[in-house]
Amino acid sequence: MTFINLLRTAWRGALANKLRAALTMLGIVIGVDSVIVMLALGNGARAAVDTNFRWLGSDEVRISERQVNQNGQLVLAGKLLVYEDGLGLPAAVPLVDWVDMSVGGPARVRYGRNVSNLIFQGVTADGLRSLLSSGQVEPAHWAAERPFTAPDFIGEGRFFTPAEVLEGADECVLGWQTANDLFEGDNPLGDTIWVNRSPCTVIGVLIELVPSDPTQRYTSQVNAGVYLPISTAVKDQFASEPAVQIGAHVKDTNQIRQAQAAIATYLRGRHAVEKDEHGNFKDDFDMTTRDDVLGAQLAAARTFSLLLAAMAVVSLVVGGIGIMNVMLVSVSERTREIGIRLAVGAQPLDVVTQFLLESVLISAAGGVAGGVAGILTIPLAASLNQGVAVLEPGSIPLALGVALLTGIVFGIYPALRAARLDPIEALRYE
Amino acid sequence: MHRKGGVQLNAPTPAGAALIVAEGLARDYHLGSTTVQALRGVDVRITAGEFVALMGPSGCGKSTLLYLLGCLDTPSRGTYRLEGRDVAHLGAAERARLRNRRLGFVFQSFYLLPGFSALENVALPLIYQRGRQPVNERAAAALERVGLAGRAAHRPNELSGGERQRVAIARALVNQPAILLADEPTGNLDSATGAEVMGLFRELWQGGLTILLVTHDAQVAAYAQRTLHLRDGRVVREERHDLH
Repeated sequence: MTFINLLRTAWRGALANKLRAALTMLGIVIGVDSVIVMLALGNGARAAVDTNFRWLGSDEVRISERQVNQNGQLVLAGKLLVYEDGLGLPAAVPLVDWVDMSVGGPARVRYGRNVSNLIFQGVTADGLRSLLSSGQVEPAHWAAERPFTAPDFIGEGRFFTPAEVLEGADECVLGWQTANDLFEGDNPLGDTIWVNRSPCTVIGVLIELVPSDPTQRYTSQVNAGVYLPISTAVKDQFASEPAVQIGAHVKDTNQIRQAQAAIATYLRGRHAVEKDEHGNFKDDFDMTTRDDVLGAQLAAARTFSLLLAAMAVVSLVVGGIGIMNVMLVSVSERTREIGIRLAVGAQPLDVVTQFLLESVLISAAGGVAGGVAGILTIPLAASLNQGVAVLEPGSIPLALGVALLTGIVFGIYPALRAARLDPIEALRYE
Repeated sequence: MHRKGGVQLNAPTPAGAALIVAEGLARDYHLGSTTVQALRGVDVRITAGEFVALMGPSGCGKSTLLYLLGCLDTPSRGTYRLEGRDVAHLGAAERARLRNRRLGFVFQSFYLLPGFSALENVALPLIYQRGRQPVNERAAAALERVGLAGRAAHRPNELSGGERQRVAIARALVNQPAILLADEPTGNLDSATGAEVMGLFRELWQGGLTILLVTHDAQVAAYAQRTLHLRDGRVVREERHDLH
């Protein structure tokens, strides 16, 4: 018998009792729905990390000073993370490729009579590289064929050299908007401006930027700013030694855990961290990686996902048993039909295929309905899970595959029973 | 699913040649600890073009014999050659193939598929054959042969008893079988309709078809060339009829 004929026969069989087939599908529908929503939650957690932690590169260990709660107030757990901590890091930890450091604060920037109030940033010579790796901004007009690189951020002039950063040169680089505001179209290069109470020479201007996240295009002022060498900022802009943000970029992301351990050892040495009575270090710093953040986000969705996974398994098993039950009833009701088919020469394999196809058709229809239901219930799940559930495209074929597999697994026994019928007994069956 | 080679199928057996040669056919049924001997050693020889009736009271084993000869069942003992081929020990799949290609069945209760049209019912044996062929055309031709060309689209419940049996006969003919096996074909019909159906059988036989028919009705058996009388699982008498 040709497959088309078998399919047609199975289709008629499945449609013979529409209500029964529809009710039988229900378990599969719920199961497939659960699978899709469950995967959407995991995917949503990942997407949320991608959006909210864009600045945290996958090669980066973000280090910050630890604060502890003392009588309701956050206080430092030990020493501050300072500029020198980051400075010695690449030499002390070979797994680290480069380090970006930054400090920041409010600044009143003045050139002649023009004044801008903005945020200054003290950065290293790798400042543009960290700007690029943060992924938060992109060039406003970049039509060039070649990919965008960190040096392309400079519109005019140049950025700081490592030597200038080390010696604390009185130089600065302006954001595109700030340069326009202060100099009103004149060439700013070589002129001296005032950042709070310290003078500095403008050596470069950035190109015009836009936020990478389109939702922030109208609120974020990415073109306002002034960059100083971090040593200059630490020396001139703060009354006392400021805390710096340190991001250690590792050479190989697969060795990020080893790098973390080495960084901890290095900082414990510099900060003379002691052990508590249990022998654990009383660290005064915290380290964060993208995996940590993702893990935390996934953990938040885990309870819900586990619930859904359990629901999916139970629904699919119950749905499968439902299919098996309906197919057994169908085989029994249609014993006479099977007898007729066998008598006119249907091969046992033809009968197996016919009934197996019938159960697979039911489960596939349930799978399709479940897929639609899944897509429709994702927003509901999102509202129950702090708004993060995003359809995972691969979950549709996966869920359909699961549905088909359920149809095959639970349909095979009734189909075999049909094919094993004795033609004479089947014909005589009342 | 289908094995190639072996006996060449659909090669018509010439008239007068041995079509069915069965010797010592026996069939035991095991019911719990007791064994019922439905057939106790029967010899049957049917040549191509013959019209043979099996007669006997209920429980004499005539249906059992028909099912054995129709490859719906396998004998407990004895030999059976169909068109020269030993078919007594074939497996279920091989017997299904033989029924599909070489045999046609007509039953007392018609056994049509209720949800399917007359044409679809007639086509049923053909869709279980491999390969592309004009299934609907052949089915329509078979329906025409039994005089039901105008009823092709009707479902069984829209047909009279006689029409249903004729659809069943068309289904039995559609694969051009070597022999038509009929089990009480008039048992569910009134005598007038039964006579019509038997007239059709005679026509088909006169057209060259080999027919083996089971009945307990002497009037029905009278249509055949010869009658084998069975009793308690044995052939007790053979009778030749003068055909008019």
